[in-house]
Amino acid sequence: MITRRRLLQSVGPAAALALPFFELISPQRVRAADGVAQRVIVMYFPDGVAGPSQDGEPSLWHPTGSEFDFVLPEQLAPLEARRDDCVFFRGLTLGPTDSGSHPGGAKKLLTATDGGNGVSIDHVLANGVGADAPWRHLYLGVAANADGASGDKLISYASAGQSITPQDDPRTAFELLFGRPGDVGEPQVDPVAVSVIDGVLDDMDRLRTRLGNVEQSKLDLHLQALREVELRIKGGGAAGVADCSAPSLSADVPAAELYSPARFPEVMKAQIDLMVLAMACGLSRVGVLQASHHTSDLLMSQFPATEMYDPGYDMRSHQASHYGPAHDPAKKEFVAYVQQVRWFVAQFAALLEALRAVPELDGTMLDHSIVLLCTEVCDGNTHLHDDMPFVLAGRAGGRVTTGRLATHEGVRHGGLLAAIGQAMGAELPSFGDAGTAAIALG
Amino acid sequence: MSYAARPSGPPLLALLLATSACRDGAGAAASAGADDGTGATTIATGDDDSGGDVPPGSECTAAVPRALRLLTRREYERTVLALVPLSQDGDAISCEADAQCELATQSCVGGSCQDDPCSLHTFVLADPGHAHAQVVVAGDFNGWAATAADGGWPLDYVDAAGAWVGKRVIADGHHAYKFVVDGSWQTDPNNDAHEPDGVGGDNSVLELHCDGAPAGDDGDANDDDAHPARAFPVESRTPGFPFDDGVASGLVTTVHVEQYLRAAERIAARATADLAALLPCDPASFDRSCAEAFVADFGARALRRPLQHDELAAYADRMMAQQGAATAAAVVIRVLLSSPMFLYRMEIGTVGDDGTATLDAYERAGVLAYGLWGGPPDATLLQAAATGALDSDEGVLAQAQAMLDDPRAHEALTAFASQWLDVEHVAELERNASFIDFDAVLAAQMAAESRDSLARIVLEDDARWHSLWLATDTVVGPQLAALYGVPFDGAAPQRVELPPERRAGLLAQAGVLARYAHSDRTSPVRRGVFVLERLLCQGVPPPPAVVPSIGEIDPGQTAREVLAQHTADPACSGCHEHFDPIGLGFEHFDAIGRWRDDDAGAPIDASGWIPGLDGRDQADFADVPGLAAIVADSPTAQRCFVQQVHRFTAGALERDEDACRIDALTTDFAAQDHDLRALFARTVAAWAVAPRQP
Repeated sequence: MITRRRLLQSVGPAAALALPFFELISPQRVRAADGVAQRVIVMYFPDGVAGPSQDGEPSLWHPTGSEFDFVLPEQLAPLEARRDDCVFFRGLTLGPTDSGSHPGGAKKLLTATDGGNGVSIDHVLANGVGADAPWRHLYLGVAANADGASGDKLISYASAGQSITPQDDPRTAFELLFGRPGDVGEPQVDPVAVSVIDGVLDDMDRLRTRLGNVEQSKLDLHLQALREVELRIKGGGAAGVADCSAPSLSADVPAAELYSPARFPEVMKAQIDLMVLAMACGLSRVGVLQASHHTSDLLMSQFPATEMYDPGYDMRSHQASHYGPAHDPAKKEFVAYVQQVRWFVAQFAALLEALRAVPELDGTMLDHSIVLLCTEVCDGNTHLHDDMPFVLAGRAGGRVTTGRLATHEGVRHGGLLAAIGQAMGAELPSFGDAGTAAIALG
Repeated sequence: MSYAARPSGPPLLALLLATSACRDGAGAAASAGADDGTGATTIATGDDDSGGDVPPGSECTAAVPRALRLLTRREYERTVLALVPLSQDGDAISCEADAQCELATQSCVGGSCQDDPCSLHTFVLADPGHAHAQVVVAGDFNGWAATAADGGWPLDYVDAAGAWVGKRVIADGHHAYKFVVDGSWQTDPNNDAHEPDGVGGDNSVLELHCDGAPAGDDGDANDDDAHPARAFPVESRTPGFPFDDGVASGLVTTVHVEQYLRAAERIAARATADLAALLPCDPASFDRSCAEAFVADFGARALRRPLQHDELAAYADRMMAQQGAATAAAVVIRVLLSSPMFLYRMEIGTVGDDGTATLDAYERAGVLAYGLWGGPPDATLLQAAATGALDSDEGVLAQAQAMLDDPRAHEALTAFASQWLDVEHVAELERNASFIDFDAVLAAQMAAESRDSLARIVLEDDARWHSLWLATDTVVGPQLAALYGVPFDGAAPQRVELPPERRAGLLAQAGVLARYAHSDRTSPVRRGVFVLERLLCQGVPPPPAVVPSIGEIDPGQTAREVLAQHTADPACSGCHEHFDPIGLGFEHFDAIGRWRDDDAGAPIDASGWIPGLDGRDQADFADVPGLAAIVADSPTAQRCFVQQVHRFTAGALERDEDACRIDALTTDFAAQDHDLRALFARTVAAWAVAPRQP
């Protein structure tokens, strides 16, 4: 029988088993305490923002003013109410990318390594400080695999050069995390399931012995995944989490309509709520939420009840991002692009509100989280990777001083990713192929 | 900027130069390789007139990497369903026509009765004496058309059933309809759901919720059984690699492990429902010898090879540690189906005296089965491996050729075609409301035509490469026939003849044309890039960092006028000059692949050219049939197709060292008169016997 997934009380004897090579690349574990974020959530949206135009007009994304006295432009307006929970950035750059443009940026976004030839920060943290949670890593998508998206459109790299695919179906993800509706009764260790996972691990041992170092890194990843599931099965969900007694999905969209643009906003909401729910239940400390993918054909003009809605004109995300050489309010693409970016920012604001609605320790979940908003280029028309439009939110348990406009002119964004790792309690002095030192967030 | 190629697609010139590297060897392959034949007998059947023939490229010495190849979702499903068939009777019922299956719930697909998908609804009107002359379904889904001529759905009379029968794909939602029997309207006697029709009578009502929405617990359950991998993560595809079976990207995450375990639990429950049939002994007298006998048989079928002694002992031990025979069998099935030995196709091999590794006979059987059937080796093929029939290169090739006589070849060929053409998701395309004909029914028929046509040409027609491009006959459903403007009678898909001056082969298929278009208009860029990347294997670089705007698209402009800006601006023309002239050739076909005489009121100029093809400056064409003829005759396109088949077979883009094998296969393709059947068999066989790195 499948038991309802519950927080583990203890990790059991299996925790003593040696992990494969990930120990080598993982930051050392640091016990969560004050001044450490309980969780990190990365939210991605596609195709950049209306930044500095090709004709040289100034950015319409970046706040203007000084560190503690700045104005949020139109695209960031949905964050006005939460500005004191955010850090806005100026000057961070991705540095050079192998294929430039959208794919080059997407591959480097979370790896800080050219060509995606490194493990992304989410997996580094999942394998390190996040490894004790029942789920090391949650990767939820909103039509992220639509259009047969190729690997360079996905931002989470489990091993160097290889991205993995997010779960686009909230129903499937929910059942994985919380069990199916029929899975009732007190959670307990199921001896048959234990025997099954033991048998599978035996086979894995036998196969690894037989193959020696052939395909070793592939089997290392596989073994690591088996070990994580083993912990869940053998833990059996001893300690229930009070807030998770009756989890439910906030929206249920049929599988056939997951990629329908008219349903995108509902799926987005369902995935945001599911991410927050899973985190609130202590199921994971590391989550990535990917909305669509770069060079997206997403028909945002079909989002119902939004300012973008226009049944008479099909406006795709990527089409709007090529709004022209200038910020021209007379141009349909430009107007739509600003609206689209603002809609995604509003989703980020909704994520922050959802975190803020859950009390935690002395404050709310948001106070003890670190949340990153990102996209793979700065201006969608010029495709440049300078002055990247990152937004950080959450105080990370006091580690991050929010309500700021932080300027790091010309600094590689690996420094931001390293700082996020540190906020999570990882010893990560630097990150990325340029060895960029962590920037200060406090 | 310059026109640079991505690593995934070498520039044309480089390809042509590379071709000369081992052309001599390839040509001599057939005779040279015969010398080291072992004379092993094969159990291949069928018209095998190639005795002693070896796979092309047998002389190529560059070893390929050893690999564990994670089963794709489709391969997993084929493997599981072969191991634990859906019908408890074992073998699926073989058939030649729908009438031999359960009419209301099954269709005859690929030679066996298969359960219909939820969205395929069967209308039945009993008429044992064949008293009626015509029965038509009219409803909101076809504009209440009362006759076939107006678009109503005629039912066919099936003698064996004594009934009028028709199957239609119907979109999710609420539908009202009636039967029109010899001109008189009536409700469907097999459907109790009625609602008032507003004129004093009733309509029959259908409520369809096929994907994800509650269709009743049973419906969901059966669907999960038929598609056990439905909740698995989709395969990540490396850019430039069109297929789902990439070796490098087949990684197992925690989500995979959880889903494998869940699927295995469900399948084990189904397998153990009839324990007496499953076990080789009376379940009441279950003991260790019974456990060993069960594991030896089931385990060998699951792992596609005989078990080794330590494996057999370990599985038997685990069975004996459980309470009762049912749990014992369920546990070992769950272990086997979640085991890495099951989930990976092994292409490891053993190192021989010469220092290179060779796949063993069972690994070779796996290459053949997954490559040519899209599923696991069957008992016959495993037997061939056991008896040494696959030890020789000749034996492997003979087996491969025989395997294309099996209906399972349809599975692999449709998987290849739908991924090569990237038409897997045509049924889910979004189209602007102005395309009023484009509904779920038409989309499904477009997807089916493009998915199936290569398999039909290979398995049922002449298997000629040229037919892919030049055939003017095709098999379509009624809505697609209407889009093509050709006469059609009845409801079931049937062969039709297309106007040859407009359409020829794959390039004129509505599914392909719609796939490479926007939701509201055509996309000459996408269509041109498709031809370059997928048909000519030329890399197209991503747009430059700073893309100049082409300005707002004026609805009054033709696509050719809009794209003229690409040619005018040197920042664009460096790339666009390579694909715009190809893509503009498709302009007679709108965003759903329908013929149009004009664009924005202006007559269409569908002429164009392929720059730099086959060493020429440019290859000119006047229309799509002209373009198709160029592709059919182009050595570059032929070599590219060989590359694509090789990529699908190998699960990887070709390395420089693979040029020898691909050259040999290309030369051989020509020598075989461009026979597609031979190409698939010989490419898969060549991969099976290729040396592996030690």
